[in-house]
Amino acid sequence: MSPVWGHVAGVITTLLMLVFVGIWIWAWRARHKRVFARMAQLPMEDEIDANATDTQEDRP
Amino acid sequence: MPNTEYYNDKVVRQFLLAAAVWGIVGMSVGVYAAAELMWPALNFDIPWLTFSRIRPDHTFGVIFAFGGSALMGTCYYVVQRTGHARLALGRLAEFTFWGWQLVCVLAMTTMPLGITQSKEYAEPEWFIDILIAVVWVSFGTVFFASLARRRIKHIYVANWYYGAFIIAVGLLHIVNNLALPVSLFKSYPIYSGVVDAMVQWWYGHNAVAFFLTAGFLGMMYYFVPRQAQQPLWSYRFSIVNFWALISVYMWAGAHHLMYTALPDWVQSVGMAFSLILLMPSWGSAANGLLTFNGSWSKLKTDPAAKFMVLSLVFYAASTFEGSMMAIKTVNSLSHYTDWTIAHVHSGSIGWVAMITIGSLYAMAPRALGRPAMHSHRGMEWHFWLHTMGLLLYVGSMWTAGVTEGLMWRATNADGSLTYGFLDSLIAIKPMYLIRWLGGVLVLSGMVVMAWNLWYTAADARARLIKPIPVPIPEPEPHQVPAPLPAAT
Repeated sequence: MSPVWGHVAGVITTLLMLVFVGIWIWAWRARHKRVFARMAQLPMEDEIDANATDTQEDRP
Repeated sequence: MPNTEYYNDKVVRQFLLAAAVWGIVGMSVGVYAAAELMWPALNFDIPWLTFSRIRPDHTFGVIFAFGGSALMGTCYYVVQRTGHARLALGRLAEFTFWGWQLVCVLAMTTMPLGITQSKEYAEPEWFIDILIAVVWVSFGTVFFASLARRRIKHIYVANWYYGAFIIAVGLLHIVNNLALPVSLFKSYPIYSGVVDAMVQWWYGHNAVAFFLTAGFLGMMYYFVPRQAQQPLWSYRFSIVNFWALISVYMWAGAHHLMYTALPDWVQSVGMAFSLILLMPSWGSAANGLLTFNGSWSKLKTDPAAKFMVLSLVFYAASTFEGSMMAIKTVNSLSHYTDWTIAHVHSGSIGWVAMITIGSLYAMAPRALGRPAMHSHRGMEWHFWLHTMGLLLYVGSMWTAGVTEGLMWRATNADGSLTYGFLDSLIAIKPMYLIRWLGGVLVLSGMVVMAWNLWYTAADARARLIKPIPVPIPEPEPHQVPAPLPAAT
């Protein structure tokens, strides 16, 4: 097999590692904090009808 | 502006009912198969009742009929709630329900008759495979069309998992089932030899990855915070976990083919990726468990929360076990033994079934227009029956598996085998009895759940329930972050 493939594999691995680090940086960016905090509240907003139980009081 | 949009919960209720029914059917077949291993005479020499014919019925019944119905139902529920929009394409959604039920009935009736491709977890013949592909593409169309009409700009993380599940399962199903039909009931795969094996286990492992993991993680990421009444421990960590999980899982399939004709380097790639996989798996498990921080007291009173917490514990345990079993030296002991069966069931009865049952108990009252499930005590009973059954099942199969592994590799000084195959079979016979008993307990729990759901659904059956209005945010339709919902 041509030795070129070793370099190709190395480049691809490096790129994938950078993408992975990039995802961490993207997820931890300060500008996303507000949206993420709001999104994290979504599952608790399901019980909105009159016979909802104690879900509102339970929220920290 | 008057609110005129309502959530489509009818199709959710249909899938809920289907999941309850298929759960009982699939697990009954499993219990019967387990009984045949203990008492072989139970096949009565009837071909369609033999272990080899009903075993795929059990796996298809629990994975695709029970698990699939639960996944599609919760997916339709979650995508509406997290997007504040009614499900798109109502008629097509209706088709996905009836189409999927037809798929399940056809698969479950043809396989015992010997109409099979003999590919594990992909047994149904070509005409059923085509129907599966059509239903699946329709399912994806409904899901992504619903996402497209969402009113909340950011896509909630549960939908990322559901989306990955739909895309990947469609891809896996089509590639693995490429075959040339020679008659209505017989086809031959286009692959042969070791390529066929690799494609099959690329499919098989990713059925675990994207059907039994990504899909159910979608369920977990919505219903766990909802039941804990706490936001996810770390929302941003869930995003990192998502990308790590879906990019690593695709490469781990070769660990099913250790010490086979598969090239050695491919086996090593499978092993290495299986070990890396532990990190995103434990990441999600930790994220789910830590979400309960501050509401651990719910475990005293809420059976749905108990199901969810134990499911996450078993998710962590079985993914750790899976990574270990992918190590070649461990695999040489565990492969072809009942250890594999223990691992699969700690994942399926522990993680998959328990997160499903927890989520169904969380979702059912809401979808059925009731404040709570009919019987709290019924849920408690279900939890304990299921947990005891699970422990008996995996405990007995771990013991049986290690016993077999050790007996099969034992050699005398002259190199001959210490034990014959029959010796190992006799040694593990008591374990087969305990396994059957564990299965009976799990099945009994499912019957209790079906009874409970039937009474919870009383109002729905009498058509007394009102559809739930979509909370449409005002004044901006695409405001981020969206304001608190205000239903009118």
